[in-house]
Amino acid sequence: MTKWLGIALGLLTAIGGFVDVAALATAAEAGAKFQLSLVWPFLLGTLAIIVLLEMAGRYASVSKQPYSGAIRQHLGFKYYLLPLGACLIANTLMLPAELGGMAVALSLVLGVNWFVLYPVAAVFVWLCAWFGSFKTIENGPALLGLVTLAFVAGVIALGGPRPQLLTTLWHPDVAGQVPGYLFLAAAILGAIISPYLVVFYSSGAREEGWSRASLGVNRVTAVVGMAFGCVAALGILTLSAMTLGPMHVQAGTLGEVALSLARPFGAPGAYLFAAALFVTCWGASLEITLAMSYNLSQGFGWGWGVDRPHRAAARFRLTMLLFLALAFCVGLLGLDPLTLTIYASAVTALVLPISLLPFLVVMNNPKYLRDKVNGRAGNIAAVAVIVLAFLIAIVSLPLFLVTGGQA
Amino acid sequence: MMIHLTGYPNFPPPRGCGTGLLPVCALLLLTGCAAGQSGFQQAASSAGAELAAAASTIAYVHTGRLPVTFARSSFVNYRSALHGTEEQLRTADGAPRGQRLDALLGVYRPAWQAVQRPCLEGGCGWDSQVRALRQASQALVREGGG
Repeated sequence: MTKWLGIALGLLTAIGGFVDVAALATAAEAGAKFQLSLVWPFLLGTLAIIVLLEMAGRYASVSKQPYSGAIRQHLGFKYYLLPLGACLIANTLMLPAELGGMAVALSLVLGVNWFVLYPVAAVFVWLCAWFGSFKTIENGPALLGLVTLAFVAGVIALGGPRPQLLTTLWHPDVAGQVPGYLFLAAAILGAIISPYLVVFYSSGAREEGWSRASLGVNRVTAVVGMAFGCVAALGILTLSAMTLGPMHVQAGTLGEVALSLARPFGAPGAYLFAAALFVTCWGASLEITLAMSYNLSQGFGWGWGVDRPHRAAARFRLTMLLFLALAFCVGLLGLDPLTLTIYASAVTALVLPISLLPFLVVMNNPKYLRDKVNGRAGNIAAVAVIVLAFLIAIVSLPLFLVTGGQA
Repeated sequence: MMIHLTGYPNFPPPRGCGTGLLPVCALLLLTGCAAGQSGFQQAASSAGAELAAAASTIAYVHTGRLPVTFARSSFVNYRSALHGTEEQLRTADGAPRGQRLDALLGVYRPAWQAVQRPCLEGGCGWDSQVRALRQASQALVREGGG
């Protein structure tokens, strides 16, 4: 019974934790601008993250070693610095976007400028990361994140997409907007295939003491949880296409996305949006902060773990604090959180090969995985999606900049 | 161009990702630029979208579908997003001249005033603001090629 409860909790947290500010922003903008024609990057990205998280969980369960430590040990210190640098760049852009998302959510409810509330969001994340237990950090925001299913409810309440809208699934109207379309596709892939998730999931499995007996739970959580999580993201995209697109609203700011839930549910819908935005950004902020600390501490061989006494993991704690401070300072530049999110997602897609290919190398080493090394299908699927995301990003990012930004 | 590259007999073996990607990027950059919008079209399109959002926000507040605090906070962002739009519409590449530009700015100015002082509470003629915002939004979206 306890095992099934564990599986149910794992599933719920995976569903609730799937959407973060990047998924929310890219889904809303994609739906408003290109109707349903950008569903494919969500499906492709979900397939990739399922494969990667299953690997991350399997690695932690079988090898019982920290993720980054293995990369450093197997590939050497110099090569370990490459994925670390790539993650640092992507996460330093993404964390202020998540903190900004929390501030925007608070500002909608309080009616003040989001920038005033930005420090409040950062302090709140620090307090949770510093004093919370791993279970609370992992399950709290993710369970509350189930509120994102309100977007799916909104689609149902409005009677679902009309046949004319459904045709955009296979017949996209992107005339004059090719750079914006490709850029957004790259951003979606970067938003879904987040390297920080892989580090957090793998380290979380170690925090919870997963073993070979956990392999079944790992598979179910990764496959079913992420697949249902994708449904929430597709709900945002579809509702945005049904409500914002016809009004010529392009979801240029996060607050505009509230209009999509206000249409079917009125004022309670707007509050649901604020709750969804706050909770998803809160959860992702904690995950990014911890993932960066895990990555650095494991790579350098320091003591690490949220549930360890602070003195036993002092450098892990210090890294957490310094990284949060760094990201906070980036956010002080005052960039709009949605714009920052879209750029951070595209940059994440761009650095995916550097961030994740070393992990795939380790996943094929019997020294760590023994009889549980990757199969050919898993390797091909992961490499194909990572390379595709990279290609789209490397093509669309300069295009997007040259054409002055049309996404 | 692609046929020429792939059919080139002495095409050197791949030395790294960057070498092979360069021609592909260049080609896509060229086609992408051709498929893109002018600076004016981009400015018009994005301003039109923001004004549409502003119109819907006011309408939703007065029909009880959006709390006033949401609208107040949203208008801070609309003002920020629309700041400097008139100048952009005048000077961006591909901007029209003469009467066409004057007509566009003529519908944009009342809308910008509504964004600066939105009617969110009480009987302050919110429906006329929504009309002005929608009219300007439609004109700008049209100019943006939408």
